[in-house]
Amino acid sequence: MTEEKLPESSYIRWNQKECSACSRCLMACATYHWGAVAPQLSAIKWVEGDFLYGSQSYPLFCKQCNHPECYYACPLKDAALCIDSVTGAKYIDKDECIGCGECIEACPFEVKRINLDEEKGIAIKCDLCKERASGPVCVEVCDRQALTLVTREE
Amino acid sequence: MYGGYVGKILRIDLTNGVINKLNTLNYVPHFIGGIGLGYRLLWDETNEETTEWSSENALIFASGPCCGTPVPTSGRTEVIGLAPQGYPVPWAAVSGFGGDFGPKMKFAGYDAIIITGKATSPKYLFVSETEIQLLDADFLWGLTTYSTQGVLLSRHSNDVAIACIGPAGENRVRWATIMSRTNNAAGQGGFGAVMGDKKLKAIVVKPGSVRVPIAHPDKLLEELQVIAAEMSPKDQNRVPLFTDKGRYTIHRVSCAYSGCTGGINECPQCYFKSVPLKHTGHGSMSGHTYCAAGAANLLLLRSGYSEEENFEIGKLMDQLGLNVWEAFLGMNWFFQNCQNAGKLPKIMGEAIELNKNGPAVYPKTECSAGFTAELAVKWLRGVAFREGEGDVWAEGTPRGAEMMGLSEEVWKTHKHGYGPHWDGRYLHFVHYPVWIYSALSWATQGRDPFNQEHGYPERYPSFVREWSNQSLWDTDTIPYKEICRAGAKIYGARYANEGWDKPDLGYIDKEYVAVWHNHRAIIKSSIPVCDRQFPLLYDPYKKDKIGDVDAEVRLFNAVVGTDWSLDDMNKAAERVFNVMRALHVRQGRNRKHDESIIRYFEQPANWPDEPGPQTIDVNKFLDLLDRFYKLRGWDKNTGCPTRAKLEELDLKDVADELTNKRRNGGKHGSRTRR
Repeated sequence: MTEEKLPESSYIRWNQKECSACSRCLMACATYHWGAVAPQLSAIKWVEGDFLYGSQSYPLFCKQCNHPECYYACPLKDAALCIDSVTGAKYIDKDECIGCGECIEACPFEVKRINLDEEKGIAIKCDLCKERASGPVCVEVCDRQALTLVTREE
Repeated sequence: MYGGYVGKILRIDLTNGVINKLNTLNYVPHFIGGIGLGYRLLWDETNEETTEWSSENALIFASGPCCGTPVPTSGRTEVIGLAPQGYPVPWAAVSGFGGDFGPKMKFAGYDAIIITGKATSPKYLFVSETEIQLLDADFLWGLTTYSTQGVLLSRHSNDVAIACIGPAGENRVRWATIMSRTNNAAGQGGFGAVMGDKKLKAIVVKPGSVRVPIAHPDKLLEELQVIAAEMSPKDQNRVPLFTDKGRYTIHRVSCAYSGCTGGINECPQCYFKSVPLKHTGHGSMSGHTYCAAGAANLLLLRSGYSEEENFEIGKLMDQLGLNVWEAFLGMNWFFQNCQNAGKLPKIMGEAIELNKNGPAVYPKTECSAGFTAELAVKWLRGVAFREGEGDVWAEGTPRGAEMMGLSEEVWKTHKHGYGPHWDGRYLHFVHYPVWIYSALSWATQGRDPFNQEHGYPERYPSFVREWSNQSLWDTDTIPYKEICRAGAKIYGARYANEGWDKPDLGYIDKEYVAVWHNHRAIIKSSIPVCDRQFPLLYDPYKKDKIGDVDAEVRLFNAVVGTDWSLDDMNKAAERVFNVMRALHVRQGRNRKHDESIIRYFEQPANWPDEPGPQTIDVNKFLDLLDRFYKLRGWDKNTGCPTRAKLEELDLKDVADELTNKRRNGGKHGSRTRR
């Protein structure tokens, strides 16, 4: 498959040193996008730390890769998994997505950054809250400012 | 359809394994959620014959509508039941804990879990979206809370949430905790003993895909920004998370910011890394501590021990499933009093020398009770396993004192079975007349009320400029006169905050303060949010100095979809408070029990250079109690809610049952020993 070079993308940067692992980012994400909270409705993944031995739980964010395997893997590329022209974010069009899971399979990270909501039959992925005037909701609710939106120009 | 609730309550009878699912909407939003839901369920589950050890005693784990949402500090679970620690009767009580249990219970599909009946052999309950299993726990019986969780995490998956007991709970120690993770505990009440009595070692909940609906997501996100900022004024969120406080302490943040127990995590207090064990075993231990389990251990041990050694003793209690609070804010001071009176030369067979300056801890005397670490370990293990004299102290302070012929010492520290807390004596020195309110609140409740009513004895004084240099929240303070004016508006009572410089006003209007905080305690533990941070009473940067006092209602409305005013919410809280009182009345509560706390407050408060009185004025207090009963709509002679009040609150069935009880002469079945 020939893959054209895509423009640089904006993304969410997580600063571990400032994160108190309160998990409100994850819950706010689901609240904003779906009006309900459940682990699979959030585009932010939660990694459980081994609390008995002192490791803390933490959130994981979509990297908005500049070489997006998820995008290339989507059988409905540019319809179900699209690229936002403003931010460069790779996002799911919920009306087009058929929930085949190819994007999740293709995500190169050990903890996949895309969820599948079986009830809705669609993939759940970070879109950088592209339609939200005040920017990503996770960044907004993070009181410790551990999250930053890094724009494509930076 | 309301938001916030997932719609089902799981009920399991351990005696026969029968499982029922109740509809949450039969109870809410009338009873809000959390402790409101829990008290109503407890009323329905128990009867006047029920005791703490009855098969019918229900142990209820309840969350509320804001749990499992981005509401700050909402990751909370409330435990409700007849409490073994209560004295002389196991008064119905609650105890809450933070962490992931509540949210994950909701993601598994349940707003609450009711445990009733008794198993004949050790069991644990596994709850997921698709399965409910009562599984054998023989292999877990005897393990510490940490080992139990380690085994269960391996057996299931690392995303489950666990509430479990240690050896203390198994052995029905009346001050045994229910632990979740390494530092979340339902401590006061001794509910770990109820789990042990039911032979239930643990509850494991696996989060599924169940949705917590949010009625008004945009409104909620808007409110979160406002309220989170109010919760963390003055850059509280800029306090570094990682600070080297000592060789083994790498992580410490304040207890006053909006990131606490946000969703599915716990209070991120203080983290100790690889502390070498000196007193309790080999190797090292890591873990979090909360203020109660960290610094306050210093109150138990003789001075000279390091913070890490105190951490080690605290973690021993967490692993055994013993209530740290009762160990160092209750029984320790009782021991000191006994020893100073020449009545207790030995503990656990060892001659001891506790701190003779104790138990007064402020401002001049040493605070430590004076245990050696070796004695503390021996005592705590003895209690948890009921070995030797430990069997006596496992019965809790008042019952243990009875057995040892030391009852004449126990009222000096314990009220209704619980140690001192925010009442002007022992640990918390608070100015007159703040502790008059404390006395009223202590009088009328089933347990130590200051798990939830900190607002008056802690938050108010910390803002008074004449009393403190800076508020607990590191903000500016407020001149006394101005905070009195603010208090008059908040409580709707002119002299609510008055009395410090005019002692005659000390008992005036405090009944309004008590009712206000009674209700606010129920509101915050029902929706639920942090029991220490809310309500947001004062704001030194506002002209009227009044904080965001209806923040909880706005959060509730945004999540649930109601359009409740603060008055509507207070009405629901009043309903819950009266169910709680009805439970106590059904257990035999009367005015005499309420008045039993008076002599504790006849002990001097010992605040130096205080213009006001140091001891309670009994007649004025009895008048205040009269006014409180009248304001509540309770009978002045018995302290029982009147039929008119109960019917006004849609509690006719409760009124009918209380009437039957009176007709039948009423009785209750407390036992001091098994």
